[in-house]
Amino acid sequence: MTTNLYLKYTWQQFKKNKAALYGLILLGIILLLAAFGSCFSPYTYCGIDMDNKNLPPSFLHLFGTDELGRDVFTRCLFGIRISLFVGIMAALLDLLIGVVWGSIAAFFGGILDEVMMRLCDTFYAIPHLLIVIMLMIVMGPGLLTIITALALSGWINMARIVRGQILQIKNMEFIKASLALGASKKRIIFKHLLPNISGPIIATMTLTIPSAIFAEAFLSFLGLGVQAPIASLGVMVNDALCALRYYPWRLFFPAGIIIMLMLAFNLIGDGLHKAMDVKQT
Amino acid sequence: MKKILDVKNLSVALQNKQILKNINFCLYEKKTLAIIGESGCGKTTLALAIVKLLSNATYEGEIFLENEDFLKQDKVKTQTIYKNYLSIIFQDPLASLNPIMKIGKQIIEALKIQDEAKVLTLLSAVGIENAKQCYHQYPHEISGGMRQRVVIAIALAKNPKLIIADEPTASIDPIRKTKIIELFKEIQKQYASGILLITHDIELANNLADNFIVMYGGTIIEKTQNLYSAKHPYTILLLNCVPSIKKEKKLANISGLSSFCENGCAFADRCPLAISLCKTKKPPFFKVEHSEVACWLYNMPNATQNLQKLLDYAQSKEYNEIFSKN
Repeated sequence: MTTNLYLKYTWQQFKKNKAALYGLILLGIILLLAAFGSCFSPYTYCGIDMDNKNLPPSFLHLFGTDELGRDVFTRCLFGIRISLFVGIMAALLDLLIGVVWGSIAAFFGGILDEVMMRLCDTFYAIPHLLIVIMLMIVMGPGLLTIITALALSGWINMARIVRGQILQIKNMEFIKASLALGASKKRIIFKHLLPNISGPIIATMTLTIPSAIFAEAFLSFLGLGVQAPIASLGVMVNDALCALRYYPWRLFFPAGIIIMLMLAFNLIGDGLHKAMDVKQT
Repeated sequence: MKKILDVKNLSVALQNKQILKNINFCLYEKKTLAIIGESGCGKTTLALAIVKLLSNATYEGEIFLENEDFLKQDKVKTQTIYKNYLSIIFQDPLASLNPIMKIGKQIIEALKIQDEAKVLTLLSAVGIENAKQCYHQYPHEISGGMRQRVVIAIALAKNPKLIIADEPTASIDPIRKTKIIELFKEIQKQYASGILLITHDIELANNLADNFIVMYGGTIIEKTQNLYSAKHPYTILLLNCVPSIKKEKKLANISGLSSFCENGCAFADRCPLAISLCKTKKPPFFKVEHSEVACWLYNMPNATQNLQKLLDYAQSKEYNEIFSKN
């Protein structure tokens, strides 16, 4: 009786969804590789070896080497870490800003709600790339800039979802009952409202991570992302592009990993969305 | 006797539409006051208005709790009154429990102290046999009757002086209903609190309450001590509608949709005894036997005769046939 039935139920529903389960397995493998893969590799991500450049995949270099003789496999593993770090940090920042913003707007309502949501709309109207480029100029390229840029444009979606969900449940009787017990507004938001909408929040977050990962790869590809010698998947794709005709594998491996990462996260996010939705209807 | 709740000239408007007009009543300690009336007559609005939980409402008049006007209290004082003085039991027991919080924890929320033993005694006090198991369950895992008891337990947790029960037995079977009635009586003895019972279940009200208020169209039309000697035509017709378990009596109804006359008596449009005065001027309260009735009928000398006519009419074949045809 003491086990958390909600979690158990969600897990049961999630397991029924085969695609989501494969996504979870795929993500698990990628995560394990990113965490421990480099222990088994004799190379470092930035170790230059000019004698062995542009080698095709072999047992010595699983994914071959790039134009400076760096091991692509090790660089890919490092790239996954960067991508995941960016994705998760951006999603967490989205969560923090979006939840606070959305719940304040929805809970207090009235003019405050109107002003806050119109601010959201205004922000949403500014092109994403413009914000990134402006931030690049102000802060200089780097991980921090990318994360800031992604968070700046990503929280709006979360704020809207949180606001919608809270509007839905804030007039329910248990909230009124809690008010009649003399609970403060802070307590109601944190103890009653937010736990009740944790499902949609988590599902939205798992879908934010892949889009953030892709955005990072995309920005790095454009040359706006992390700088050498740090390897991110997008940077590697960009480097490989000029040698595409002669050494195509240098493009395929990092691109393939981006695809798999996004696929895994999307499948999981979708599965969670469905598993948690059933409970609410 | 000590007054627990005293409502004086209360009028409430929601978004510029007046819902409650000139409500006056008071509730004494250890007494139960039942507010009855059909759906949409403003019962729930009144309950929420008394505890200031209506959103976007404008109030007029006074609500005295502990000899102080509750409507004029600031936030801090309001919160202390919520915490110590009154409890409200809402219509839907499932909706009034947080779906993702265990029962025990929700009662602790009300108690404000982590005291498992107290929670268990409360749960047993409201007649939950397996209190320990219930403590660790979620609201969706227990039955409707148990949920209702849990909600009552939460209401009792703070030893309130005033309990406002809004349809406490809606969707509960007759056996549980009897038990809940007994429970309320027990509570009243033990805690010396006043209960404001809001219901459209006339049998329940009759069993539980000492005084009755009949509402129609946002106004009080009758205050009485004995429901079955009620004097207002509406009350009489309403009581006539209560289905009986013996099939001798045909099902009755009150003709017309619930429409509220603006200028005069709210019931004037549907009242079979209405005279022209009813539609133009609001009736004051007349004292008749155990009741205070807002009806012009009692201003006239032959009131009792007229009333007898109404009673006969309500039980007559023709009256009931109107409904079997429709």
